[in-house]
Amino acid sequence: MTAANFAAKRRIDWERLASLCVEARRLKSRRSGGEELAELARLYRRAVADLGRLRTLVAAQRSSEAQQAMVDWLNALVARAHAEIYVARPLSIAGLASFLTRDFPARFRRSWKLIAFAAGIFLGSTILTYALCANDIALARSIGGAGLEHNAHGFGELGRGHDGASDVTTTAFYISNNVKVAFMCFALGISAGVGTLYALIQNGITMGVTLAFVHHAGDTENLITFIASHGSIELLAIFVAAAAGMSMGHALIVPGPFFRAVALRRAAVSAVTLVLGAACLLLVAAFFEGFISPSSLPMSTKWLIGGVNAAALVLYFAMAGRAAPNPKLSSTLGYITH
Amino acid sequence: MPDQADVMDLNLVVETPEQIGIDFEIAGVGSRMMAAIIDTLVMSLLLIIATVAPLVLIASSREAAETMVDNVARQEHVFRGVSAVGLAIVFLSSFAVIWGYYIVAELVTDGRSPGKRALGLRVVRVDGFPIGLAETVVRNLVRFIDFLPGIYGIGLVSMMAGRKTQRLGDLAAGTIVIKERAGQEKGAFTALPTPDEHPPLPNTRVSAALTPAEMTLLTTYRHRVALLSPSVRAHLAAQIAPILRARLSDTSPLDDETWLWALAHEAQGGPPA
Repeated sequence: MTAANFAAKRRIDWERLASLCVEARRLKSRRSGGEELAELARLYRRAVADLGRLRTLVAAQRSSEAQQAMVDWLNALVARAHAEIYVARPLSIAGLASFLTRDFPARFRRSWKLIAFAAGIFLGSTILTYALCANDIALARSIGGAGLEHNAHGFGELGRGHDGASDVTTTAFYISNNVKVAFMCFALGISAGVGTLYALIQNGITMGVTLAFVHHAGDTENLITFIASHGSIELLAIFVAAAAGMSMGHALIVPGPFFRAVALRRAAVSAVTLVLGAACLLLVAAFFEGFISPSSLPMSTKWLIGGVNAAALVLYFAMAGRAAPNPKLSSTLGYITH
Repeated sequence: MPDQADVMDLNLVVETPEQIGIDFEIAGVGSRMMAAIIDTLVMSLLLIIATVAPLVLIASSREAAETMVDNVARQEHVFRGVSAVGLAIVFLSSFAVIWGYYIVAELVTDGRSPGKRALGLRVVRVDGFPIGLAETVVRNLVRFIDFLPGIYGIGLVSMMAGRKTQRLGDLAAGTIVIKERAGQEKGAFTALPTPDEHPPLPNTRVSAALTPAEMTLLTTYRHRVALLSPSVRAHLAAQIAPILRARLSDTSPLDDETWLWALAHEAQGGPPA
């Protein structure tokens, strides 16, 4: 049989498949499209087999431009049908709910070592810097500079509380700024984790110097009061995002049984759970940082809110998502493969 | 004469679950950069809208407050409220555009952001499956590293270093950018191209004049040619045909490829199938 004869015999099915592909998006959004979608899947499987057959026939004969064009056309059709049949799971409210109640906390527990490591690096830099600078303001100035000292005084003031219309603005600023920091902590992980480590240490030092300036100005109590309500959430979120970045670094340095490229891909794609979870935590933190922390609420109330938040974090990450998984409610990040 | 690498298509064969390979043509650095330029322009436009619109709202709120509210203190209060909300919108919307443009653009279009669509490109996973949320988040957050130290310096080096034209974000996400061939667009498929009949036989002299080495070359060409992509085939024919034409003092007007094919069959002693 020649390729042309074969194509003539099969073309009705191929053209039907082509028209179903063009309609596919509409069919999927319609409840009654099931029968046609099943037909699309059936025709796709036959077309895949046909592609193999056609290639063999064309290879056995004189392969003219036109015959090659026929193979290319069928290849394109199969590629297109493949893309319609094997789709990523669409985003949904159920997927988001499952992400927050199961995937994120479960992933957090599996990554606790990296998260603890990130926390250790950050807090270690903070404590070390503070210990060196607290009674040596000249050193603090040489590390932090005048800009940071000015900001530190601003932080000291914040804890005193105020009433104003600008809370919406500061909340929005905190969201955009902090989520940006979290995203960068993750992305920098591509440098085998070195960039993420650098970001953690740099931010840790900045915090240590700021604390030293505030201590020098005698505003420590105000600052702690300011940080109380949102600090635990915000810092933990940054540690989580940094752990996501470092899991890429870990995969590159210790790829285990995989090729480095494969190890990197597996680590990066699965770390998205941590990055998006960190962004969600930062949304919550920014609300407290914008509306509660700078408010004129009494110090004791702010401390109470801070304690409740910290306890809620512990409960959430220790308990959520421990029940057996519900297959109907699986994550947005998963794939339908058939 | 161009180097072989200049004309060789970058192809990726993706094995389907049905065990048959589908060919994907990997997009080159040039078309990737063109797509990035277009996407950056679209993004800049959105960014301008995201920042200017709230600022216009703030500016116009002062006039509105002055005409609609009598009390000066109340005017000030309204203006402050609008300013605060307006600035909040500026922060959030510009953040969303800068960090979210590509993620949303790739997610809602199955990997074809406006720039890629304009160039006929699409992001897919290395196994040929469409990208999901995780892949697009990874490749577009790591984009900020690829962009360093400016205009995709790191990304360019990475794309040129590997065989699949992947920037770091692609490597991390396990994605490639492919060129969609004609007929593969979201719109209608063009009709199935039907092959023409056999081309006329060229009027070459009997190929007994060829040396054994040249005969081997011809036989090898005949066996391999069907497996090559059209551009590589044409390139190969353009290299071989002139040599043999000179040997046979051929003056036929046929193009190199057709001539060579006919010669190969004549040398084998049979007509083209």
